[in-house]
Amino acid sequence: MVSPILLIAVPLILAFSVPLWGLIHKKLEKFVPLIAFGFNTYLIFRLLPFALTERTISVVIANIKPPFGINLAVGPFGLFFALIIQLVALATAFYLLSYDPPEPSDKFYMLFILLVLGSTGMVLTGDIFNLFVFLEITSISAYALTAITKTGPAAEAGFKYLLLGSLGSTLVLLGIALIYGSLGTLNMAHIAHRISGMDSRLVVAAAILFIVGFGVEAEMLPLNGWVPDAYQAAPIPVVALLSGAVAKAGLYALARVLYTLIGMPNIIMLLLTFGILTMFAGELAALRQNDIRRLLAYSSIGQMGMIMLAFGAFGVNSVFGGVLQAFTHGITKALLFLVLGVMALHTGGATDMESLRGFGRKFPYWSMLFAVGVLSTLGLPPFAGFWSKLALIIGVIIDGHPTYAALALIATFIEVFYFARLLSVIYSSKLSPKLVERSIRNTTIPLLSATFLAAIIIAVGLYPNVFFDLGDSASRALLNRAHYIFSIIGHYLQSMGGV
Amino acid sequence: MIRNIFALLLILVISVFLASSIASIPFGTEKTTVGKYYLDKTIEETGSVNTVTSVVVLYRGFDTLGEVTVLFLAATGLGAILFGLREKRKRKKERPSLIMRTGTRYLFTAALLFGAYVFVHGHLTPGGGFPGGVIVATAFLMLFLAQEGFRVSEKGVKFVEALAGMTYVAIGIAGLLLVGSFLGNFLGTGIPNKLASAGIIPLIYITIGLKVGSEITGLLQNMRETTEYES
Repeated sequence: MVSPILLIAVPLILAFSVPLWGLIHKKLEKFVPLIAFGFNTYLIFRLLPFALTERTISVVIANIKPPFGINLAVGPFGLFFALIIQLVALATAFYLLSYDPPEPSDKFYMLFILLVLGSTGMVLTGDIFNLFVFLEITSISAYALTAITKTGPAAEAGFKYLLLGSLGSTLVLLGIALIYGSLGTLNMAHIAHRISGMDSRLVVAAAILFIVGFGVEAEMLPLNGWVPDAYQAAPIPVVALLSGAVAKAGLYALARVLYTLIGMPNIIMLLLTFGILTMFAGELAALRQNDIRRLLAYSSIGQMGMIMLAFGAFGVNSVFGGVLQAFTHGITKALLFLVLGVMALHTGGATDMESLRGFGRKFPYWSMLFAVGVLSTLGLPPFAGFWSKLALIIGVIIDGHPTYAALALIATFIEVFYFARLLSVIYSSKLSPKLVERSIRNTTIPLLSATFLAAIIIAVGLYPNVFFDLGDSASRALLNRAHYIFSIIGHYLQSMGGV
Repeated sequence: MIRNIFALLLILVISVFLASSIASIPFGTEKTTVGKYYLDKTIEETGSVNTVTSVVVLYRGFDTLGEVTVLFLAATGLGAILFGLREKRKRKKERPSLIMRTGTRYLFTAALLFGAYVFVHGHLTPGGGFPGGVIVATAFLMLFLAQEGFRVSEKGVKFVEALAGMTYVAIGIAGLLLVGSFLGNFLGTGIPNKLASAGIIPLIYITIGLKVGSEITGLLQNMRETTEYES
């Protein structure tokens, strides 16, 4: 087996090397992210057969076995999320080839690589403090990338995100301190093994700190004030990553910490409440938006709420639906934003509905790609979103929460309202005066990268078997706490004489 | 008004809840499993007589690589956002005095040397790559303050920074190839208390020292405003 550590080490060395490429030739810089994520996607596909099993393996770092050293805990659940992140990162890195980055370009590419690297690290690590370090890497690069265009709204969005994000990170750190102070260990499997002996009041305190802390990245309700602003002001490729990588990593961290570390059903079910609130807040706010970027941002919040609801239902079927929905949401939102980026090239940067009225008449292929994304989000066959939404709603019903499934269905109806309005504007026969015939840049590369994402959505929709198998092992692995503990620190527990 | 009172009440409730939970944790007792292990096994396993260093560079070396990246990100992010905004404000200042200009010139070499000493001896004495790097940057800060129009080469800073970071990761990958574990110690532990001991720890601390030093120097240059001196 190839070492999963290379998923982190290779992009890191490439990120540090960006200025050196720039010294040779300025044009070379933009290929670095593509090399990094091309390699990572190759690696993920090499590891994929492994994600179909239910095993979790420990990848030891610095030759010091857990719980004393840091390890990666590579299992189906983490690999599933790593796959989402890498696919979005690959499509976006390819898109960057024809994108004029904000100056200084070398710093833009470095931050870009490190954003993806941080989220990949978050979904692979087996150590709670290491999770925090990767959270910092992810969020600090995200703040900087949000504000990098240096316009007024970008600076405001970046600052808002910075405030909320650093508050979240601090709370996570405090939660880790509570656990380390009581249990004396940072390895997640070791914590999970010992947590039943911890003062339950402290466990609850730590759990709440984690929910609030990771909730910022996962776009959870009271903490997602940064989302619409950041999605509107950040450069388009960054927005694709915010929903495809950052939100997914935050969601992973929430699920991993609540299911594996804390493991208390009552606390996990808090996610139900947060999920429902987030879902309706997002969907209802999306109804009133006229700017497509903001509309998609609120829709993203709504979708994240729906996934949280599935994770909160605490059952293997609903988690199955949740991970599938996380996959389709990540890929679909990335597709929508990349297409929107090209649409904006034809209106001089405007993304409000009126400027894009009639876009579909003039550019049928581009709007078809956009429609694929919209229809998949709504959950229509033959797109990937159909299976994931179906699995989510059926799963929540099977796990004994038909009311919540009905709520998710209602949220979907709200989605139909605003997406129907969006599509009718785009395919309207009246043309917006702002639309120009030729874009200022060649759009072949964005076309290929958006087609790649749309192809994934259609392929998964038509041949969902592998997708189901991956989601199945991922959801089983998340719920199998005993196996996780044993496969990471079984050797240590045996040497201590107790299993 | 009502909002403020509500906020205050909320803060009060949260603080009481947190304080009462934290009060029940027995900090400082011998409960910390891994902490005790590090104290007992450091010299035998790593050859470093400075336990803090062995924890930072070996036991939790992956976190340190992450923290180096976080620092790098903070510097890069700030550099990216300040780009194009700098050198706008000009303010008249009094010239640095002759004593300051001459003194810093002599102190500069000594400060550089001391910084290097601190990060090379990280496995033997208190200190290491991070403080060592900051001392190196302080040496440059002195010149920024005291010498008119002093600038470091932007390219040079970038070059050292990139190379140091890449060397750190390369040492990690060498461990993966040679002993089968990323950041694994492939050099053996050596004789404790010697300068050439503790395997890869001094190598990593040298890369960290250079990286932190060049990063913070670059950061200081970015944040500096150009000043005009009264003649």
